[in-house]
Amino acid sequence: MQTDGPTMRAFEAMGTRFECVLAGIACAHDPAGRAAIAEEIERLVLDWHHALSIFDPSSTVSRINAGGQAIRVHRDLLELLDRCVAYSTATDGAFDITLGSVMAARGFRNSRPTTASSGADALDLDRANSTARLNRTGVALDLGAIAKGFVLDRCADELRDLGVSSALLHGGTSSVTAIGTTPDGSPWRIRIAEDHTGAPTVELIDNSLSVSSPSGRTVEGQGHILDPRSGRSAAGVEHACVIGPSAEVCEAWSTAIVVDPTLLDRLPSGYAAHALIDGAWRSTNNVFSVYDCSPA
Amino acid sequence: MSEIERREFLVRAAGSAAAFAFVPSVLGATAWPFKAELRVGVVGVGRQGRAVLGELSKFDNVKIAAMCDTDERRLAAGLRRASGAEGFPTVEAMLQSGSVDAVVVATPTHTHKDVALAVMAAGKHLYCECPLAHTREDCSAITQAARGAKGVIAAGFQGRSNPVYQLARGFYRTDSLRDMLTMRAQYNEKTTWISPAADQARYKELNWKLDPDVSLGLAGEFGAQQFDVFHWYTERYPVRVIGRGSNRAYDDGRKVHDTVNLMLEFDDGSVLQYASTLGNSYQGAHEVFYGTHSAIKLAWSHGWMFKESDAPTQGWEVYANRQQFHNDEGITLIAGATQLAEQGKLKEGVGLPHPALYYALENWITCIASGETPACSVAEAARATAVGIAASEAVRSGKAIDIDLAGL
Repeated sequence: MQTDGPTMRAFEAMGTRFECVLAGIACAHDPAGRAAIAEEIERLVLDWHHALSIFDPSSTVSRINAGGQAIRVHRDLLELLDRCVAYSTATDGAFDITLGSVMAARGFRNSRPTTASSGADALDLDRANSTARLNRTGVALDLGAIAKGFVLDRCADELRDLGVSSALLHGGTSSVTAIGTTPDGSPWRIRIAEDHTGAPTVELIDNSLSVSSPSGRTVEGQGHILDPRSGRSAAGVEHACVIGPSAEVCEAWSTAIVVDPTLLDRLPSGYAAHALIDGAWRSTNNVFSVYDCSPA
Repeated sequence: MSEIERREFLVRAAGSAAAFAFVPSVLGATAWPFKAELRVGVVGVGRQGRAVLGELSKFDNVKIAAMCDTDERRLAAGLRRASGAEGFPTVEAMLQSGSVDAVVVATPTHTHKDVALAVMAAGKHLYCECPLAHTREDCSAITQAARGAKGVIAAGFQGRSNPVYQLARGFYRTDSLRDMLTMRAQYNEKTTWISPAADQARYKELNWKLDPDVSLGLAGEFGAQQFDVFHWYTERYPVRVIGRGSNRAYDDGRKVHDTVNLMLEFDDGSVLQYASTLGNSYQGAHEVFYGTHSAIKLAWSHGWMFKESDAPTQGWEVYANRQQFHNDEGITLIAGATQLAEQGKLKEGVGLPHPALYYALENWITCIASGETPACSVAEAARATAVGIAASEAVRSGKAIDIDLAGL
C-alpha cells in the first residue's frame, strides 16, 4: 500500500475535519512508513479530542466542568490551562477559555444553562498535584478557541521525533502547521480567505498559522466569537490570521484579534498577522520575516 | 404452566429485570469504599498502557503511584499523564519500592507471565491485560500462581464487566433468543498495525505484534477477547477450530496475516464464524448471536436486539429506544435505563459513556475493596487465551486444531 507520492490521511475530530500530508520521512526501515505515522497522528489527535471535548461527558474537560472537586489532569493539559490564563492576561481578557456556559447560553452549544458566567479567576490550578478545578458555579471551560492549535503542536513534535522532514497538517482549515518545505523545496503556500479580493497568500516553512473569523458559525445572525468582556459577538474584524512557530499561540491570538483589533500591534515576538478590518487588509510589518521559521 | 407460557414468563420476568437493572457506574463516578487511596502501578505504558492511565485517572481514591517501561521516552510521556507517579525501569524495582498496592500489566503479550508472576509473588493485586499469555504453558503458570495469590487477580477480558454486555446476557440467558442457531463476530480496523519509530531497535521492540515468533496475530490478540463473550454467554468452549489467513492489505513482507477467517465448533454442534482484517474498518468490532426469536448484536459501547416478527413482545419494549439499520429495527440495549428514563435522558444512554476498559478496571478495583471475585477470573482468562492460541495456530498452519482445555 506504500506509494511514491505523499501520504494523505483525513479524519473527523474536534467537530471538524483534520488532514495530514506526509511527504518526507527519514526512517526508511519502516515498511509501511508514512501510513503508520499518519495513523499515529490520527490516534494522537483523537486522544486529545477525548480529553478536551465538552460534548463527551467522560472527557477531562467535562469532568472539570461538572464542578466541585479538583480533577487530576495530564501534565500537558495543566500546562495548556496555565498558558491559557497567561493568554487571557496578555490579551486583556480578549481570549478566555472560561466562556463555556456563556457560549451555551447564547445558543452555540446543545443546551442552554440557567446560569452563565466566566472569568479566569474561576479556574484553580494546582501545579504541584496537576489538578484543575472550577471554584464558581455557572462557569464552564470551552477550549474550542485553542484545542486545534494545541494538538497540532503535539502532532508536529511527534512527527519531528519520528524523523518526518516534510509535512502539512490542518484542523478544519483554520489551523495549519507545516514541517519543512514541500518535497520540491518550495514553501507550503496557503491562500487566506480565498473568496476575498486582496487576500494574502501565506508561505509556511516550519511554522504555523491560524485563521479566525466570526462568520465561521453564527446563531441568529451573530458570530460565534464572543467578546468575553461584554458577552456579545465580536464584530468589525472579518478575518484574523496569525503566523508563527506555535499553532496554539497563533490560534489564541487570532481569536483575540477578532475581539480586539488593537492587539494586532501587541503580538508576541516572532509572530505576525494579517487581518481584514472594516473591509481592508492590515498586516503587521514583520509578516515576511516570520514565514520561514526553519532552524538556522 | 405450558412450555410456551414458561418461556414467556421467563422472557417477561427477565426482560423487565434486566432492562431496568441499575448499574451505578454507567452514569457517573462511583463512590469508592477505600479509606485511603489505592496505589496502582502500571507496567508498560505504550499504547494500551496509556489507555489504562487515562481510565485509571477517572477513579476517585485511586492514585497512579508508579509506572514502569523499558523505553525511556514512553516512560517520560507516561509520567506526564499522572502527576506524582514515580517511574521505574524494571518491575522488580517498582515492586521493591513499596509504592504500590496493585499493578496493571499492559506489556506485550509474550512478557505477561514474568511480570504477572513477579507481581503475585510480591503479594500485590494484579490486573493482566488480554490475552493472558502467548503460550499454554505461560497460561498454566499464571493460573497456578493465581491460586495461591494474596491479592485480587483479574484479567482484561472486558466483555464480562461491560454493562451493556451484562444486560444483554440477561436477555440471552432467559430465552430472548429462544433457540440459538449460530454465532458470528468480527474485528475490522483500517490500520497498518505498525507503531512507527525513528530507529531500528525501537521499531523492532514496539512492533512485537508483527513478530511471528511471539505474536498470536489477529486470532489471538483480538479474537480471544471476543471469543470469551461467547464462552461467557453460552457457558461452553469450542472444541475445534479451522482457520485461514493471508496478507491481502499489505505487501510489505510481514509474516503475521492481515486478514483471517475462522470457524470455531462447539460440542453441541453450534458454530462461531469469525473474520478479521486490517484493510477495512466496516462495522468495526462486534459479536452477534442468532436465535429463532431474535438476534443480539454487541458492539462494545452499544448493543441491540433485533426481534423476529413471530417473537412475543415484552412489556418493556414499548418504552425502548430503537435504531433503524436499513431494513432492520434494533431495540437499543441500554444499561441503567430506569434511572436514565427518570431523568429524561434515555437517549443519552444509547452508548456507554466510558470505554469498555474503564468498566473492566472498575470491576477489579471494586473487587479489591469488597473482596469479591472479579468478573473475569484468571482461570476463565486462561481458557479464553488457550482458545485464542489454538485459533492462531489454525490460521498459521491452515489445519484444523482440536481444542483441549483440560488442566486450565
